[in-house]
This record gives sequence, structure tokens and C-alpha cells, in this order.
Amino acid sequence: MVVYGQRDGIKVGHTLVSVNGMKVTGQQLDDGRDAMQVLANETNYPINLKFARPKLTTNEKIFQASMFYPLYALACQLSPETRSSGIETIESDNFRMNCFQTLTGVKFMLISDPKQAGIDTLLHRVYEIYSDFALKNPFYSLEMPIRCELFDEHIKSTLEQAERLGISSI
Amino acid sequence: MSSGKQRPSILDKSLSRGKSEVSLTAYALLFSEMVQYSHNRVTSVNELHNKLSELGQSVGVRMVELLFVRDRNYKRETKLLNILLFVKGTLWKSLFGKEADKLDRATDDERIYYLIEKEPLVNRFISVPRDKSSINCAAFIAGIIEAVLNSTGFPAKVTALWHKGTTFMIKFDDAVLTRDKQLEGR
Repeated sequence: MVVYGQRDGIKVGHTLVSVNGMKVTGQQLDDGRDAMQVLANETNYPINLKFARPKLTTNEKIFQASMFYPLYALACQLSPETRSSGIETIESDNFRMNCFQTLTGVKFMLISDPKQAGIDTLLHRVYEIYSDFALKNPFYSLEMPIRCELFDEHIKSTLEQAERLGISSI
Repeated sequence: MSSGKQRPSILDKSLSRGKSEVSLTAYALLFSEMVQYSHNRVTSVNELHNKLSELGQSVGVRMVELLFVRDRNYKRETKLLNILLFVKGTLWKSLFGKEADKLDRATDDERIYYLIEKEPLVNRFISVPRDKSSINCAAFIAGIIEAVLNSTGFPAKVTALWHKGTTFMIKFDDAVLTRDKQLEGR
């Protein structure tokens, strides 16, 4: 975990995410080796390291969603205008959280860079993918975490396409 | 109670051919419900395949009559290869809008034919969970094919396998093979 001294785009709070393309969780690489040992061993140089903000664990995601849901309901009721849409974005210096509520009350939350544009199209696309590969899947029960391969594949390819060609290509 | 001019009742109008297209979403949701319904009433993978196959058989029996009246001009198929081409072409086209990908014959057993479809329409939105990876909902289509073959006089058993996408293994009864050979001999 980077605690002090950010440079070259590696900010405070970033952790080691991959070594030579292989994913790292905590201190361990995917094939069982210890990350500190691999770094200390000079025969492995030159080595390719990737740093990023650590991914949320499933529990943390559940906390986040359950905190957000009542805040959203409060915002709807407190709004001076009638029929308010609730919280759409929460912006801070480092990130922006976007929320899209569907007609049925399902909320899609996306955490992005504050300067990223076109999140609406992305959220709509995620909604389409959800309704295709999660809702039409007989093995998916509502309200459960989504563990459908086709869903994951399509989300990944949409994000990759957005990265390569810009968000307007979705 | 009856007004002066009555519109012709629906029974007086001639049968329309009907729209041949159905919304994919509506079908996918219906099929998903069929799979869930069967899944809740069985205890093993084979039973699930059997249940889906039975549902498919009801469809196949009705499709046969309709297709032979509309597209084959009331003429029956009597040869084995012709009925298989009928399944691959006409049946697939009317159900899925395209022909099946490939039709092969097994090298070791001459009663077995393989009909290969890389991505069956019914499986398009279904991701099978890891712990039940042998379930193939194309058992429904296998039921349709089996009913078509059984009702046209070529008794067979059809199963859906995970091979090159989805492969339908069609196993004909011995009587069918011998009869076909006799026809060819003449």
C-alpha cells in the first residue's frame, strides 16, 4: 500500500495490483508466490508492476450499497421539488459516484473519475446487459449477487470497448 | 342486444397465416420460466433434460404437421437423408430463421448422426453455473427433433451434448436403417 510519496501517476492509497500481468491479492500472486519475495529476487528483473486503487471486497460492496439506498430515499423525500429523481451523482476530488435508477427501482452505481464524461450511456448499456444476461437466465435468482458468465463477459467487453474507442462508441 | 349491423365475427374470417416473428425477449423470458419450472420439480440433471425434452416434443409434433402442409405441399419424406435435411433446413429455418450449422454422420456407428449448432438460440442468454455445468437447455430442441423424427416414421432418440457448441446426437432404430437400405436397393 502506498503511504507516502506519490509520483508517476501512482497515488497515495494505491496498492500493487499485478506483477508481469499476473494478478496480486494482498501479498500473494495468483500462482502462490509471495509478492515481496518476487520483488526482492533480482533474477526476476526487469519486472512489470501495476498499481491501482484496491478493488472493493464483496462485503464492502454490500456495505456501500446498503448505505447508499437509504440516503437515496432520504434525498427523494427531502427534495424541495416534487417527484425528484434522487441522488444522481456524488462528486469529490478524487472520484465521482454515479447512480442510475430504473423504472423498477433497481439502482446501478458506477464509481468513476470526476472528469469522465458519457457515464449515462455506459449506465444504460449496463442496464441492457443486466436485463439480457441476468434477468433471462433461469439460474439467476433475483436480489442475489450476479454470478453469470455471459453477464461478466459482456460487461468486460463493453468496458474494454469504451477504453479503446471512447465512451461514445457504445 | 344485437345491433343492426354486426361486424363479421372472427369465426367467419379465413385463417390468416399470422406473423412469423416473435419478440426474442418475450421468448427468452418464457423459456427461462420453462427451465425454472422444470428445474424446481426434478432432482437430477438427466431428469431435467427429460422434462425439457418432453416440452419440446409437444412443439415438434405440431410443427411437423404445419411444415408439411405449408412447405412440402402435403408430400411425405421417405428417405433417411431427406428427412435429416428437412430437419436441418426447413425446420430450423422456421424455428430460428437460419439453417443448422452442420450435419455429420458418425464413423463408428451408422445409426448415429450429429447435428451441430454452435450457438442455439435458446441458450443465448443462459449462463450455466459452474456446479451444474452439464445442464444443456438445448434438450428442449432435442425434444423437438425427436418428436419430428418419430412422427414422420423414423423412430430415433435425440440427446443434446456440449461438443463444438451444442451437438444433437440422433440415434435411429435398427428398423429404420434396414428399411432405408431396402429402399435404396430397389
